[in-house]
Amino acid sequence: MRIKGWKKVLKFTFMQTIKAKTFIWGTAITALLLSAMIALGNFLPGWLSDEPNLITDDQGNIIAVASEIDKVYIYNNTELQLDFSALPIIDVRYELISQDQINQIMERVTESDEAIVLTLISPNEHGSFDVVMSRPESTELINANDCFELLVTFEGIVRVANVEYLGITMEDFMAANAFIHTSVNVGGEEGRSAVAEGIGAVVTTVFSILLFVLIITYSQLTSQAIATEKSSRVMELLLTSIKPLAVVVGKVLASTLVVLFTVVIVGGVATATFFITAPYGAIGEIIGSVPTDDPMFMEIRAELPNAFAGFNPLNIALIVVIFVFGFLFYSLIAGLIGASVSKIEDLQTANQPLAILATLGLYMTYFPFIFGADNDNTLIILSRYLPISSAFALPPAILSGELSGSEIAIPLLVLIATLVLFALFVAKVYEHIILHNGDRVKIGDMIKMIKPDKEV
Amino acid sequence: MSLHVENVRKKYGDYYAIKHLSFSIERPGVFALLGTNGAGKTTAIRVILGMLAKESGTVTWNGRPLDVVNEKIGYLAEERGLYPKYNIVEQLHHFAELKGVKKKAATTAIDYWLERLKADEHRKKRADQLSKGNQQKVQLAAALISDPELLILDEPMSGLDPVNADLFKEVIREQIARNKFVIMSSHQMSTVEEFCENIVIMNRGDVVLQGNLNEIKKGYGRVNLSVKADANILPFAKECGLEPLSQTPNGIDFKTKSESQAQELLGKIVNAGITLVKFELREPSLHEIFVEKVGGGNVIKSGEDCAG
Repeated sequence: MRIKGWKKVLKFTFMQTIKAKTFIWGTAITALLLSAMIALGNFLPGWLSDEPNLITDDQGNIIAVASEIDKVYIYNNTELQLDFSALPIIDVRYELISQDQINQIMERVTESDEAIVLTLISPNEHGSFDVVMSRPESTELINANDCFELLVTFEGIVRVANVEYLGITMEDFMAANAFIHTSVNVGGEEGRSAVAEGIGAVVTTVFSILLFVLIITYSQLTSQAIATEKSSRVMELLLTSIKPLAVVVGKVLASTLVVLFTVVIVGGVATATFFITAPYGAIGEIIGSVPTDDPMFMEIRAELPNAFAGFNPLNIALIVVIFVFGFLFYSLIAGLIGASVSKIEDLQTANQPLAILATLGLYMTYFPFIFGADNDNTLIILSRYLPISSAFALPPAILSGELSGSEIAIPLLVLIATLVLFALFVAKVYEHIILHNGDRVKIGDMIKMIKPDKEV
Repeated sequence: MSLHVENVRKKYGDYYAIKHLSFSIERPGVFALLGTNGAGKTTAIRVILGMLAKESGTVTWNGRPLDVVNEKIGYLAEERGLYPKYNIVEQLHHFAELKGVKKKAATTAIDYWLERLKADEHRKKRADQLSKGNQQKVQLAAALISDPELLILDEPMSGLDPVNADLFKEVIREQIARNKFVIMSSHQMSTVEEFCENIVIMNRGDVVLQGNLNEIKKGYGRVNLSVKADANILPFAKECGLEPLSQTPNGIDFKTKSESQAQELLGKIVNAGITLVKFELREPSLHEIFVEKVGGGNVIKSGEDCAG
């Protein structure tokens, strides 16, 4: 059989690759970097923010977080009866000023070393209000975040006063401003909210880029392995024991195994870091391991199940299968490229078409999402069926649960069929070019080779 | 067992690298595949091994088309061919495994051959850490670890120092003694003459001479005369119609038309009372035959052709 011995080639190539210092160091560094980014994402918001100054009642219960701002001077240019009794609760003194005093106070704010701010409240042309807070130039006393935190309180004060001014009760106001959940469906079937769509777009982009990096990096392992064997003349020795096709099958599958191995290692370390550090920061608030009243985080948390509706073992298995077939497709191309060169120095140039092809596939996948295209956008649908892009496009779509069985099965069959046909082409060509020395064999020459009794 | 190569042709585009190659090896021993650079020797070897497709012809081993995957065949390529960055023992295990050798047997064979070829001290090294000669030894070990029935050696002595060249020759002799079939391609005629009974000489894809070496030499006859004496013998040579080919401290070389012409010269020298240091009449060497067949050099007339 023409592929007899492929398992031995696979085993040897895989073991030598993962034992190599470059692979060990590269994987370790990647895992560490990824873990550091995840940990920083959790810890950094807490590190960057100052230690909160807590205000407790007589029983020691925390009732508020004190502001960094010592005193706020307020000019109210509206007709609203503003109630500033909330300010002392957060340990902010306040003083109402007249228009004449604005310049003087502004001078004090900008030039003194006091923790004071000037707040101007006035109506705007849109029927709403502007609340502008001026702070000192130095951020050692007060920074922008401190002002924004206080402005949240001022926003509440102005809103409550406006409600009263308009003659509405607070209960009616809260009812009128309750969160309105929006979503899009097709033909009356349950659809996804805008937040879920947004999460889906982010997941698609990240997933596609991750798959692209894996495919483009590790498929070139195949071309490099074959080109090295050719340029170091090991290929002649191998061909006294096995057929050329067994070499390329073994190499392609070995690089597939290497990438899966790498994903498991790096993914495992990253996942462990994620769950270890989650309770300490922003990601913890999103996934619910840390309490939060941030409405955005709460909304994201509520939509996560919807955004990842397809996250089940069967779909995970499908995604792995699709990734493997997609990787095999690119790896076969890379193997052919490796066999077409005689010198290792020519490999980089020879690999360029592969890089262009993969980049095209990636752009087809995530550019439509970036520009807000619907799932029935022609380019998005095409990206799921074309072999150069289906490995990038299908997995995130499966994960978000938006594809039917046939919408998964047909592109997968197209990918498999293309892979088989391409493998047959490679099989035919490979035996002719594997010992070729000289100029790089071009695609036109390869096509001539599949005709009987033709050679370069 | 036997190897038959019949009417093999191989071309690249419009260029015929092998126009017509036929030979047979019916019994164990060393068969020489000779030729100038670019004659087609390595192409012939690759076609025999099935690495390259041929235009026509057959290559059979034991009556069946030769299939390297399923037969025990060892190959030592002309150029160094090892994984540069991998440990040599691990590589040898891989090559042995590809040949179907079980792990334990491979370990034994590797240990034996590394020691036999005096490369044991390098077993922990990578291939790129070895000299060319030591890489050659490792490659020879790779060719032999599966105990092949057919061994093909492409320029086995290339780049070896005399000590290692002798070591390789010992190994080849051992293989001959074990009734192995060996095809050897070489430019070192003296080495070929040591081992080979049958030869093929190729030139530009064509076979220009083939057969049993002794028979070929006999066909030329003993026409190479080398004479060394205490006095000048050139006048006597001229009288016999002999023109000197070369004069060295070892003597004067002539090309005779027949043995009787040489004997005539001998008679004249003896009658003149000149002390002879050396008078040697021999068949042409393989080197001389090779040069005559594939380019340049003096034309060697066969014994029949030179009768005169």
